[in-house]
Amino acid sequence: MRNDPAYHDIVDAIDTSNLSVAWYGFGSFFTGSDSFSDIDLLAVCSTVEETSDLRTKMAPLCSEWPVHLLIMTESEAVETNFIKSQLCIPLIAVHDE
Amino acid sequence: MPRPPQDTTAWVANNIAQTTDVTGTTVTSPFTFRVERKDRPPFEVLVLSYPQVTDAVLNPLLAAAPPVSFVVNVPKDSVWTQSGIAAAHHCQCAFGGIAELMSAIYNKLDDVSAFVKKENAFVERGLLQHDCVSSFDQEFDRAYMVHRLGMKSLRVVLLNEYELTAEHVRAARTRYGPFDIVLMTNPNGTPTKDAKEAAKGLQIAILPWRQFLGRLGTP
Repeated sequence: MRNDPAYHDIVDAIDTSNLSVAWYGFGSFFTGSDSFSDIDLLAVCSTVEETSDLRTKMAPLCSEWPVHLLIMTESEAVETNFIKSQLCIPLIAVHDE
Repeated sequence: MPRPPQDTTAWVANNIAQTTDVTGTTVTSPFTFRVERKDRPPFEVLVLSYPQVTDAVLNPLLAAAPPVSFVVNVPKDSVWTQSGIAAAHHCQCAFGGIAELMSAIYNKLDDVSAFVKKENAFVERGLLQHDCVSSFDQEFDRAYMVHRLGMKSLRVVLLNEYELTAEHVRAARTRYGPFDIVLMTNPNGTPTKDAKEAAKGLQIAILPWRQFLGRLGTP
């Protein structure tokens, strides 16, 4: 997975998104399957406004790769228990701004 | 800078080569590759990478390519317009994303061009069999205008998310314009509280399949 060019583009895109977002990977790409239909990313935002901006900011990445971008607020992440139930892998720490 | 098309094609071909029942893939042009399968005929795939697939995008590529059975558009965050779908049908190609291409391979079809996404086939069959539906138009791969007998037409967007979030609802509104109903096509899907609130604010109903069928019969 780490050798895949998609992974490098994901890390770069996340690093330049400049929002206080917690990023996670989940699904077959991040569990190291040889074959995968999409690349599952979870972004947990602290505000509703951030969720709206994020898909636009990530459009260049999402137009190059089969990224399934799931964007949640922190309250939705708690409500769904998604991070635990889907065994999400933290990708990068929240930016300090 | 966008990736060169030949890099995207090679990446998809390499991914598909790892799929069960595929014995190998060969890139045949910057936009196409060939899939060899166990006990099934090989087939050709056209690879695109566009946020919106229209006939204007698709026709020149189809004209320049060898005969293909499947058109795959790589971005998950993308839409197939009515004209793009018609262009694929005109050339007798199946279409979709990488997930649909893999489904077509798993289905072991001799003729991959006959592949139809199960989600759409299920919804369209339900609409055709509904007493209150006179006709429907597929405006995008995930958006339908449903015409009803003696009642207002309803614009419906199919979302297959397991966890349907507020952002999904808002993104669908941005992508497809105003619509009346989110049809949840994932039988295990659940909207979050925020998703319900967002939908309420946009005057959109989020409905699972059975409730959707009931709504079609309600003025």
